[in-house]
Amino acid sequence: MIRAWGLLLPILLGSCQPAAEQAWPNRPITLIVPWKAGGGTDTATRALAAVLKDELGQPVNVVNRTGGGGIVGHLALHQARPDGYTLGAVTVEITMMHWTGLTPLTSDSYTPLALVTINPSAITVRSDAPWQSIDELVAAIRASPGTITASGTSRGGIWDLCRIGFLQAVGLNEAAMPWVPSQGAAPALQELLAGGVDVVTAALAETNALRQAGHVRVLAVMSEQRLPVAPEVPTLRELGIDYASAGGWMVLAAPERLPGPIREQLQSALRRALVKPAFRDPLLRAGFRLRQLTGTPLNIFLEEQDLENGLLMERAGLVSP
Amino acid sequence: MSLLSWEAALALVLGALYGTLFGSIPGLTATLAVALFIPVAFFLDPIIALPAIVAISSVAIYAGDVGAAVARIPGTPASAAYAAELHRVAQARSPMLGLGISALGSSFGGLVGTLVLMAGATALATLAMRFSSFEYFWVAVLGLAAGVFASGSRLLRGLVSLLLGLLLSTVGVDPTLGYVRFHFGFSWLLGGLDYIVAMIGLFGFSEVLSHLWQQRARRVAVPPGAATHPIRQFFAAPLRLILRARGLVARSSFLGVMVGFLPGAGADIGAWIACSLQKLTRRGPPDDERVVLAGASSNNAAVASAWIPALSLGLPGDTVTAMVLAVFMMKGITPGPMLFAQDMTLIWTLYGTFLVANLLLLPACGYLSARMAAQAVRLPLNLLISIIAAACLIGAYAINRNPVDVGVMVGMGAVALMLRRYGFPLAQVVLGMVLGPILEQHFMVSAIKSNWNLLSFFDRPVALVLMALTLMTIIAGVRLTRRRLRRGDQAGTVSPDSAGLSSDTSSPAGGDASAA
Amino acid sequence: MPVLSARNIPGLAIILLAGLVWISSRQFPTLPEGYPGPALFPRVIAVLLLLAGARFLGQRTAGSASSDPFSWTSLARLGGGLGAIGVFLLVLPQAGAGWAAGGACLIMAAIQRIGWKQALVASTVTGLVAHLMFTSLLGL
Repeated sequence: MIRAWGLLLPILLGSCQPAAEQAWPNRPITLIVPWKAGGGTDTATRALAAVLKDELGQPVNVVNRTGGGGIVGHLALHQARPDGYTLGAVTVEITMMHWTGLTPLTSDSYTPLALVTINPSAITVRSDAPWQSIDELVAAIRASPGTITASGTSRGGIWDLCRIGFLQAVGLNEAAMPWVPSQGAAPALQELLAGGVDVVTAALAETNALRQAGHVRVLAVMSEQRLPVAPEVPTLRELGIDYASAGGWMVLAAPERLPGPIREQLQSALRRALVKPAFRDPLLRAGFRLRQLTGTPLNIFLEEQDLENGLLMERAGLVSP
Repeated sequence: MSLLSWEAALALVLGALYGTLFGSIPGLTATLAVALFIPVAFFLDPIIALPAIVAISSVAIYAGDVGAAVARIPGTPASAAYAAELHRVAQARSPMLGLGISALGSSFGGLVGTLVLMAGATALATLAMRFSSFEYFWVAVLGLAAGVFASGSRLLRGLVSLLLGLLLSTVGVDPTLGYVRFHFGFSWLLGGLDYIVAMIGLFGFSEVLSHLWQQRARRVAVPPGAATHPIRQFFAAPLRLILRARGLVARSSFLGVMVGFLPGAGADIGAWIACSLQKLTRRGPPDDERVVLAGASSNNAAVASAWIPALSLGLPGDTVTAMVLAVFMMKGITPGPMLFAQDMTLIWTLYGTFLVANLLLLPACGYLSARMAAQAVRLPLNLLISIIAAACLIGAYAINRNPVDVGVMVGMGAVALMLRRYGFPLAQVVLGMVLGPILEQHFMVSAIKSNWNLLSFFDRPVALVLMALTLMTIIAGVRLTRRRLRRGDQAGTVSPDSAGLSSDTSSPAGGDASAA
Repeated sequence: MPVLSARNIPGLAIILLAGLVWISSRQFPTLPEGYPGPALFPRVIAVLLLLAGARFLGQRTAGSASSDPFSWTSLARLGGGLGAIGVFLLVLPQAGAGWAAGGACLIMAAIQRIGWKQALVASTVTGLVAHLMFTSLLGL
């Protein structure tokens, strides 16, 4: 019997050779999402995967690699082989995590392909809250600093930075509206409903279901223009507060050193996929903002974001020396 | 279009089969099954997509018990609460009976959950809105207490296992400052340890390791009569049990509903409380069948009630309903009171689907999977162990597609081997890993919110009620356990659980409730 | 009763673990206001573990382990099990998770000295099912 085993094993192990390489793409493509299923990034990526599949003629599988405040997924994409078969969602956190010394990864650790979504922060309060406008909210914060609390994500997360940016723009200290950390937008909204916190600064795409259900009120959005899904909500600029921020965004990227031809093929496929109504309409309805950006403008956007967020984090005392 | 359309019916049946297949393989969870279906759902009419999601999640949660019956690998943290008992029933009586109790119990629990969803969604949603971090903290403490008392007369060992689980949950980024704890310089530990991966290692792979060590090469003792009358064993006997234990089923389902509708708390705590309550209040000898019944019914009752906050508030109750909400938003459907006022077709379709999924699909798919399980346990033990080892490896890899998780899984298997050697229960480790983040997060948020005024934990009325409940559970649990110990119930405490799949049926296979 | 007896192993191990957790938690940062942040929860666990471990030290039944006799064949079999894991991880990038699982199954069967025909059939079926399920369906 031993002899039979001796013959069998090498044959079986030897038969497992990789298939010969043909023109890209000749097998399924994997999209890594660093956040959990059901969240904003996941939703947008899955919608994109569905249209990208037709453009590339290969199945596109979405994989959630969660944990560590997004580090795990970002790291996994960085470490993947740059062969065009592993792509992933790179989110705003990539311009933030390296400032705190949590990871050496920056947006330079990837080959950015296209900007997919932009989710500006929305200042959201309970529908029975006494403040009908931003002015009233700011006045209340001024009257008794430190009593009105805000939440939306972990300490130093993107919605925390939006809070700091907003407070700065109205000339208030960071501690005037303290931050209560939460594990994401949904738990923060639960806290908001239960009266645990007073303000949530997460994106409209996260709060929209509650807004339409009438449980919360959005006082303003921090974007340059009003959002198509909520045309009645003013921007901060319109209200005389000079602050706008891209908020959360998601870029589809590949690992570093992606071969040029594959990169061009991917970019043109993305340009076609990102304008498809099958992709745009449902996401717009859900409250996402879509903005197409590829090539050099995308790189400039990433650099600007890196500096802007680094500055905010430094003011918040979050940058490690 | 309505539920009667053939497309919707087909979606239901296919969804249920897909859920069965997914749930019964270790590593493939109900959440993953739904996540893979979502891109398809984007293109379907919601009136077809939603029933399919309901069918997938209802059946997949039950199918997680198939692994528990065959190889003691639970599918969800909730089913870890009764995995040892289910495995014992499957071994001592027959897998058909064990899975029959689980399937019909799930079916009844799901029915209760659906009825509550139909009758009281809005009222319960209003209650859910009052839950802030203080209330969640007390719910998590209640879950921990239930976990300790579920360890029967070996409270101390249960407590240590639970603490170990809590400790494992602190690996990775901390919830207040984002500081990385206990990573020992490994980048792959930044994200912490996945509890599903740990569960596969603790339960499944430890079995493989212990088998390799003990080199017992005999066949599984298939109980006499296990192969005869499968229908009677799967349907008639469990049904009789459910009728006899009406109160238990009602109580457990109620518990599942009450914890399940809380966004984020999930089904797990409910099932643990239900199992623990059954073990504490039983009269006479320990009854594995009733523990399985309690856990299974509460587990599936929570599936339906997790939809309550999603439908009436727009807040996801768990990952599955988070994805459902994403489908809603992308289809332009507004959850909340408006949904109930305007789109009653959709609501009634949903209710109808839940009823069909729980009354017809769950028993039918359950029967199919139980027949397969009954065939699997008849394989020679050596072969079964080989296949289980392969299933553990691929399952651990499949969760996050991360080869490192395979190592974590094997490591947890080795830890479990040591724990079992000294008679520590394993399920409590999983519970600790699940509840740890909830507990810490909500404690820290509460403390920061109230500026470390710890009296605020007793300020809010709902929190106060929950705290009283927790204290009552602890006091009652300690007294009941003491009384049982005095009656000489601890006879079995000395025999540590080293027996596993290959154990003969007379020795306790990992259960602490068997201490009689 | 000597402290270092076999029956005290669980208690001592638990106390040691508690001590290690406490010591490593001393490096954790505190919240801006000076309250304990990341260190609080591990420390509470450490204290509870310490208490539980101390409770174990006095107990008569604490260290009663199951008696599996040590043998070199057992060790060899465990080593073979590690080999199966190694095969899984080696084959994984080459042929996908499905066939890797089939290979691991085959090694496990070989360690347990199952008849090779039976083992081959079982591992081929396992590999095929896993390949269809995971690689073809899920694109793993």
